[in-house]
Amino acid sequence: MDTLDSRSLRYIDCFAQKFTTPGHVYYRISTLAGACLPFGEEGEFTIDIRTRSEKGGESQQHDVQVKREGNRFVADPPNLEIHAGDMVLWNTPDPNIAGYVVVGEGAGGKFDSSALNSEAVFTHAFGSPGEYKWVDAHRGKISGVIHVRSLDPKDKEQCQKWLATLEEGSLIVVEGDSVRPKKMEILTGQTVFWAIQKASGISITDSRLVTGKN
Amino acid sequence: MPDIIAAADETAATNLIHAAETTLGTLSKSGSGSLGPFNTSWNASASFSGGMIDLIAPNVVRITNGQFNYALGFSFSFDLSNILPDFCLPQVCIPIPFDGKLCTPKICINWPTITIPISHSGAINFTADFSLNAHLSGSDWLIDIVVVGIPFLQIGPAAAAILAAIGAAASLILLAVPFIGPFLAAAVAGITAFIGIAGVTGLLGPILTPFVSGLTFNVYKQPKLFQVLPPALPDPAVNVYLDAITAVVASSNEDELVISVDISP
Repeated sequence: MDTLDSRSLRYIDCFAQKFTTPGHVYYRISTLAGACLPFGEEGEFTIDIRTRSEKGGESQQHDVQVKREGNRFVADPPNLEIHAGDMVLWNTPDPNIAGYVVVGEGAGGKFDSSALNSEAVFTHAFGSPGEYKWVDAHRGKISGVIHVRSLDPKDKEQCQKWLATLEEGSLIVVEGDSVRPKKMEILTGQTVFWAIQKASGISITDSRLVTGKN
Repeated sequence: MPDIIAAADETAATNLIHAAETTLGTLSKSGSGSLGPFNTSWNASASFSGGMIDLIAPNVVRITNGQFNYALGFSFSFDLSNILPDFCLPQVCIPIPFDGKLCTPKICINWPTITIPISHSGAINFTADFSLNAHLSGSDWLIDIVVVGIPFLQIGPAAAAILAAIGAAASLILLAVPFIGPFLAAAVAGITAFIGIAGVTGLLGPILTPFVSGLTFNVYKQPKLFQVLPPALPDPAVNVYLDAITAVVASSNEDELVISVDISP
């Protein structure tokens, strides 16, 4: 079984946030323990959000890689220029990074990968079979179950099918206390996207990691 | 002419050896060695049981079908990237309600290094020739039988069993490795092929052979000062000294282990 927890992102997770309000946003990347510390000069990265000039122009996705330099997490690129309505996605290619959070504030308010707000997305690639009951570790009002199946490892045909399914993601939409769908079944290696349409400060956390909620 | 002569036929000698095997108990050793391309530290224990005695004049005690019981524990670490291909989850794109679509980047999986602990016990039958050695040790006379040369141990079956145990242990451990999915069977086969029977034999030989090299069983122990009790009172007990003890295999009507003792008051 692997670990599912949006409060502590690993290389098989992604966090994305949509920015709709033009202005300046600054953020930092830290461990969960450091998420509540006040912002300082060091370790802060920026996003400049410009008004979309082209009428009807499509929103874009901007990817930021999280890396480790000494004891610090760094963002690559450290500064982004985007347009209002664009998404920024954070991910680390480093499997040795044990867990990080992205916390920021500025135009449009605060955003936090450990406490997901509206128009945020958390993704997780499931590596091991099993039944994963997930909950919101902060408020506990939402939950769901993901059954992760494995294939017969000796069947070569199934292997080909499996490789093809890895490109297919599954979507869960969270809107207030509503979760759609509540249950889903996927294969090992597949990625689930939690799109937080409307919520404030929730997490997507394996219930076994939350005392009294499994 | 010796003062005392005692003789044991092959049945009695077999009983003596079995008692000596029990007295020897369990021997333990630990060390480090190579398991194919891996280094490992190991611990092993061994005991002996059973076997039939064949006495061959003038000085050979042959144990036939003796049982060498062993228990072995070791572990080794294996970097799965040695046998598994580089594997990346592809980019996954999906439409989301508040944006056109979102795509994850390609995510390359990091295969971990796993540690595989192995414990294995078994028994190997052996046949070995021993020579008699009567000697004074401190205030005791001892008659030992000492193995001649290094007995051949058929460790092929044990090596195969250990390799199978490695495969079984690896399967269990690999089940918990994320994303291994369809690579599981190939990974187990890869690990066992990486080590091979030769790798296990190369580890097993130097571990087990020292247990039988120089193997000695004590079949008789007697203090040099020996008290002889009278057949009836009022004669007192008297002490005699065992001045010399010799042990040979004699062949007459049947083969016997013959112990001759010279005494003095």
